Amino acid sequence: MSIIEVKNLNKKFGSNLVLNDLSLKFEAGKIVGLLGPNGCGKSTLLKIMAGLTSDYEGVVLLDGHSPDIHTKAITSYLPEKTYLSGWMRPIDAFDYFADFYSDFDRVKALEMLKQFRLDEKMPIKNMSKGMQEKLQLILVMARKAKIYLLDEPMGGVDPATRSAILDVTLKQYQEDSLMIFATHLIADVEKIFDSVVFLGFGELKLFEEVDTIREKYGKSVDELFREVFACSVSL
Amino acid sequence: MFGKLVKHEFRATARIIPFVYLVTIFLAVVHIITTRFNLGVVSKISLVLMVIMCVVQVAVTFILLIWRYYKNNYSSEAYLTHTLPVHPSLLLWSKYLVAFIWSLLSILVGIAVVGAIVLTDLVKTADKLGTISQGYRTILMETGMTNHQTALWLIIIGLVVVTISLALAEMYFAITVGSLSKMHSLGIGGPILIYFAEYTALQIINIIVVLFIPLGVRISTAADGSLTGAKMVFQNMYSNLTSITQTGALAAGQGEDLIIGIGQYILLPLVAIGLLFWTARIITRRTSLK
Repeated sequence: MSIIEVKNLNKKFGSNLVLNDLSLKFEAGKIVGLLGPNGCGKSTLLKIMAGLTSDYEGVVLLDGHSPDIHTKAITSYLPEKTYLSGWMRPIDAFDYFADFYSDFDRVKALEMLKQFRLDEKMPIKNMSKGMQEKLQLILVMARKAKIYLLDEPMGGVDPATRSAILDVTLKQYQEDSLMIFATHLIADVEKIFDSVVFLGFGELKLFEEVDTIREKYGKSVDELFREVFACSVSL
Repeated sequence: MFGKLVKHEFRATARIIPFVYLVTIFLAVVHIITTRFNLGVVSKISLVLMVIMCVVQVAVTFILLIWRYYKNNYSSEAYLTHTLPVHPSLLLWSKYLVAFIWSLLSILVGIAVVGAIVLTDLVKTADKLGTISQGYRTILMETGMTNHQTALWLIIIGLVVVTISLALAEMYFAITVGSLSKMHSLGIGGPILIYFAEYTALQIINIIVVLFIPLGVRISTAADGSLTGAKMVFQNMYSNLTSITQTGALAAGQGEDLIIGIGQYILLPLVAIGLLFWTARIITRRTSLK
């Protein structure tokens, strides 16, 4: 049974149609790569699922509910932006999450904090962008959520940190959960995907198992992505 | 969940706001000490600064609370705030409760500090205390409130509560509407634009209500212009003004009674409640982050 169902989803920004009659179903127990060029609607789709955008047309169901209190309780969302207040320290953020999310595991969060060598008492405003991203990933992955929505979790970090983030993500991922991982750094992460969605300017270009892509096209996800979204540049 | 939201709201706001109050209290202490040791110039400067701070702290507290509402609900922090598993309207009510308490405190700290100065500085002799007391009694007598002191204080407290609530409600509404998806392109300009539109609309409604709602205070004056009494009446201000203009009573110095409309004091609490519930509804149904 699908844990997320999207039917005929349309979303406009002004006159610009960002999601065009999009229909998708996601099953639990999978890691899905949500791939597409910049501005193709990946973040918008995740924001709708996370309950941050309400002005859309169509149906979006998470665990059978339109985005609401129930879906927010079972969804762990990592946005592109830094969403913690600058004065907060990791321990303050842990208190905050522990208060609102019953599935937040503080012990696991502290373990990950040590693994990433972050100081639990360092204010977020004093952290580098990479450190802030690591902390947010810790908060998101320390929850035993049914759905993980990760929007560019490795956007602004160095390759070594990317590997660390991937390791943590895989280690903490719950086998029976769904993880949707939006990125355009495909080569770095395609090994963890069970399936991928290619989103091309609001439209579904491809939704396939990674193994099927390798068998059917004889290509890696990264190679197929480059082919599908190739653009000609005249010099 | 409401309790947790309130707890974290207090935790976030308590990092700055009490320090604003401490500045005022510090200036009051400096003034009291320097007065006791007859350090005239320092004493006067600290008194002036303290009086200024009493006003400034109310404004600074308000600005900090409004900024917190915007930042936490509609900037990058909103990505966390709006993914909390709570009813969206609770985000408003928790912020409103905490902001109300801080705003009230900012006024109370000002009153307490001024009170402390009066008690320790100005009132050094019994006759000065008697003068203040006499002044209070005169005001009560002239306004006919001698036997209604409890009612008078309830009205004053009610006005403070309504003023704070309305100020917060107006700002919350402007920020919430100005942050709807159709206004995203304007950025912070959206809430500012909506605030000016809202303020203008409320002023127009206020004037209409003051003039036409049949509720006012009749101010009676003698021919020499001295106040002879004040009484609540169920008449509207507009007809009274028309009558005065037609008879030319005021210009002729005939001591015509003047009615001052107070219908807005019924309207304002309703406006505050209406705006808060409307804002809660918008947050619940139409929030779309940039």
